[in-house]
Amino acid sequence: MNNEDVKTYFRESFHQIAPEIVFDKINLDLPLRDQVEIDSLDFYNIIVSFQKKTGIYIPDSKLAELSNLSELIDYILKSQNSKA
Amino acid sequence: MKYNLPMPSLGADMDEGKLMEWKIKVGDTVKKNQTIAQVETTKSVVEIESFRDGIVMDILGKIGDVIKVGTPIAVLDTKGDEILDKTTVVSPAPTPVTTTLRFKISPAAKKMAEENHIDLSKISGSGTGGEITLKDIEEKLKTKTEKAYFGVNLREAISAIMAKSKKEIPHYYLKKRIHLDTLMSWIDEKNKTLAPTERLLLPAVLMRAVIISLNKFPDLNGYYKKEKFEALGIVNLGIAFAIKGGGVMVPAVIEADKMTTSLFNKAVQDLAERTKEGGLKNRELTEGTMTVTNVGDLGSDEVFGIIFPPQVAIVGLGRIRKEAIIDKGDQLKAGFVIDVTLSADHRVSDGLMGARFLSEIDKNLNDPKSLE
Repeated sequence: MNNEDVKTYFRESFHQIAPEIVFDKINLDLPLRDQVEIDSLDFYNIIVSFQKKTGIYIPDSKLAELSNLSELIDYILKSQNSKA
Repeated sequence: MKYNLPMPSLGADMDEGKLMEWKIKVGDTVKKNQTIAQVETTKSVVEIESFRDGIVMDILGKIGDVIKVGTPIAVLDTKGDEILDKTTVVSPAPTPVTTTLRFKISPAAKKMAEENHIDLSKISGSGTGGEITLKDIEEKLKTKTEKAYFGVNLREAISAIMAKSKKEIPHYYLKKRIHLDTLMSWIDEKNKTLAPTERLLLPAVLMRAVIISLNKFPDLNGYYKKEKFEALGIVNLGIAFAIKGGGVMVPAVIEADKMTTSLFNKAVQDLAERTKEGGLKNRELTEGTMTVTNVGDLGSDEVFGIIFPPQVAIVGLGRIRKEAIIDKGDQLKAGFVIDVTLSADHRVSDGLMGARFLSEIDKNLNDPKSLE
């Protein structure tokens, strides 16, 4: 899975859980909640949707540490590479 | 026995509701707690339930009516049921049922007012005989900053209830920083083994620790009414949810203390969903016994909440973050922390009890098995 694949899965998950948010308009390097109105439950549901689509589990401790979607995507790619 | 079923109050900040849909008709048999209608309040569409068993004799409220709290909306025949419940006692004498607010208003002005959710009761008509004109509505729209459904708008409702709380309740405030490394490791391992849809929500686990801790501190869970505190035997945990577009709602998970962590986790998600989409029950909006407000996902480190009367305490959950902490071996390390606060009513409890309560939450969060 590459960077674009991860983004595609997130794009689908955002559309499914919070259709009012246009994923491609999000600046991935800035904190998500500074840009869009999204609560912790919606974000949690997006993570669950992503996990269901990809089988990739993102621990809560990582979610608490990461400050934007770029860092989250980097984490996912690194964790996939380390498994390969 | 004839029983006038009143428009219930769905919170101290509600004085009227708009009837959206009837779920019953004349002749139906209804059971206590059965959903009988949908009502729109300033905050949401809420399902209201019957207060008792009976047969529907008459439907008084019409769809679209804005009806004052306490006004009968339906009549039940409660044969053999002679015991008056609290609702009957407090409901006012029958009042005219047709309470739809009627105003002298031009058709064009009415159309514009409806399209923009303008509260007509707040407008003085400038037309002949006090008629509200199109110009009056346009002027109102210029000053309108928030969406008002009808009656009192959400910002006004929150303002009224919070001002009342701060004026009448002598709050005291405490904060405790709690280390969460143990909990974070536990939830990481736990969620790894669960199906995605069963995954535990971190705020729900934190709230579960609050609920368990309340068992030992009944003076923080109940109502202060008429100069007297009443501890309640159950925990209906109110949860403050931010509403998109502004404002807050505080529905409660009913009998949260009787749930496992897994069940409570699902109940929180269900409650959040219905808060957004509509479908809350009147009990959920009126019977919270203690509240938790979580500002962690807003990015703030701590919050000292304002007590939601007649409750006597509110717990604040801040942002979970990594900070420099000193471990038991006096070594500096990075670790997860959260600031948990308590705002409580000094007429009922004091700082010593409050501090012990926060320590109990700390103890439970650092013994995750106690949360299962």
